[in-house]
Amino acid sequence: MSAPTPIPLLALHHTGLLVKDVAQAAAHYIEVLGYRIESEPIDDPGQTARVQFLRLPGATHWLELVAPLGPESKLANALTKGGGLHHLCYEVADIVAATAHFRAAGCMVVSEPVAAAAFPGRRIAWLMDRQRLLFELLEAGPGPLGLSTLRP
Amino acid sequence: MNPAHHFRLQAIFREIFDQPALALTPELSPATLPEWDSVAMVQLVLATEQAFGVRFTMDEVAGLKSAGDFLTLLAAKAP
Repeated sequence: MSAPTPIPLLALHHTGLLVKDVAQAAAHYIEVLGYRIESEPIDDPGQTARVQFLRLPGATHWLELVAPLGPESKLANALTKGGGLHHLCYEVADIVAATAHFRAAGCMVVSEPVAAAAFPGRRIAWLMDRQRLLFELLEAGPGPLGLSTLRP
Repeated sequence: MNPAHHFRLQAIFREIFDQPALALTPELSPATLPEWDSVAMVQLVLATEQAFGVRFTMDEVAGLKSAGDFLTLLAAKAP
């Protein structure tokens, strides 16, 4: 389906990996694959998730470890299917326009832009494309975990 | 109820929820199936559109509150 507006410029921000235990998974990726810790574990009640960001030396995007925040988490069911690769996240300059663009292009909006604990002052939105790939949009902006800190 | 629609929709629900023995009833809803969250809802819509060769409008998607709603909509869009 063609979209009525130009395709927003997307920059890969992170790959989301659904895990049972963030600390345990982080230890694995640090010790076995050489990742480095880029954030403390962050609890986001709005997303019912605990997340932590890692990054390979020199990489221009992050790995996000995502675990359910409690048994009632929206992620608990997905984890029962085994976890693993969960979503891609793209940073965009205008999250409202980008969300509208992808909706018009046939993607389904899972949740409209809302504030996220991991990115103070920035909003995230969740969408799924026709290939049933879950992807996240993250509003570009200053502060930690911004792509501008990696790509001057 | 169109039996062919029911059978195909049941297969979709079984795949999305990874429940091979799931019995689709019109009353099935997020209230009766805890795994039916917002992501699963989008997966159901996309899989149903693909399987039946239809496209739902945003208003139609917003009106889908149960498996019965899916069947009713399919009866109108894929008779």
